[in-house]
Amino acid sequence: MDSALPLLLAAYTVIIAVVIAVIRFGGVAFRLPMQIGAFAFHRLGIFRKLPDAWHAPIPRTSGITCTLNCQACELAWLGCPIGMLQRYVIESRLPIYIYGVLVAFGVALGRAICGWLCPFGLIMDMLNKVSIHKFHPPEWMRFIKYGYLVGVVVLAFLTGMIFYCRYLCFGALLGVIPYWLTWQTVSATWLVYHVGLFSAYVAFGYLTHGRAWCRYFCPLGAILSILNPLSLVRRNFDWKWCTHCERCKAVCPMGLDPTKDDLKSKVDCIKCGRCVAECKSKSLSIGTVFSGQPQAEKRTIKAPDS
Amino acid sequence: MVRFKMEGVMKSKLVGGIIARVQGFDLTPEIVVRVRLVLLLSAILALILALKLGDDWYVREFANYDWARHIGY
Repeated sequence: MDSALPLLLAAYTVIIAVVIAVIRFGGVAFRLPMQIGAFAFHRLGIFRKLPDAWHAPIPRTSGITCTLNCQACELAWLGCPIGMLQRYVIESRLPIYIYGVLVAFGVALGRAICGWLCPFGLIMDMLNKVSIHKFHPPEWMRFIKYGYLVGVVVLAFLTGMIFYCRYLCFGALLGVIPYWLTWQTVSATWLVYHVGLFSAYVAFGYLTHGRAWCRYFCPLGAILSILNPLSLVRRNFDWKWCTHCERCKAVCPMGLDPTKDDLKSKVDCIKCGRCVAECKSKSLSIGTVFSGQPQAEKRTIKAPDS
Repeated sequence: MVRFKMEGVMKSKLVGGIIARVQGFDLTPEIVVRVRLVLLLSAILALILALKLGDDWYVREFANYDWARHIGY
């Protein structure tokens, strides 16, 4: 492992630096390419299964990623922190490695990971486009994800198996279903169960909000939420320019009011920049703690006299 | 009965007080910077400890498909 250590630390540092640089200098326009790139990066294991001309000996794992990433699928090559957390609990090992990865990424990027890197986030965003937003679940449901997080650890400890992945996770989308489509070695019972579970989450997202999984259920989102207020990536708001049109509030996939700096916004904002793109007065921006108000020069209207 | 009621009131006051203190806690920029720095350093230390002093258990565990087969693969 000695040789892997500098390589892994360098890889983590480069990923964090690239994401921060893209957010700082590229802006919201680069979010979709970044999401697609991250999705492809997490699925590099596909090269193991391609014919000789395209075959590449991608290792089963070279480390744990910072996003939800079903590692049960052969297309994956990076470990899911939630899946591995359960393995550490079952084996009664201290999850120091998980702590290191999640705290480093969480403090650096916060929930920008959900908005910019998570493969599931990309799919949730696609679901958000077709979601009818008919029902609005109560605000207390945001706490379910923390319950899921506690449940991940407690149930793994009590049952001695990866209970969360087995019975509760949305991971079927990137695990069971692709696995079944490509190699068809999934038992019919599990396939039906996971497709049903996945359909239930999708139906819930379709009726409420596309990002319902991220908002209410994701245990990794719960961990990142705790670290989000400390993140180097932040949403800036210049109240002097705000016209109170509330368009930002209407488009926020996490159901937040981007003009407020309350606890809910601090912990749940995924820095996706939907509010920034919608804001006509350019009073909102996504930047880093190193930048002030990067969009100030782009304003098209005058500030109201105050 | 009265005692139970009093206890209930005291408990709700205590819980309310704790919630108010958490909500009212002023997270100043200086505190944020310090906490961020401590957490980042601890994360780097944890990564070094986990990979240098630890073992390659996680690699073997992840590289092994057996646990995935347990869920029907």
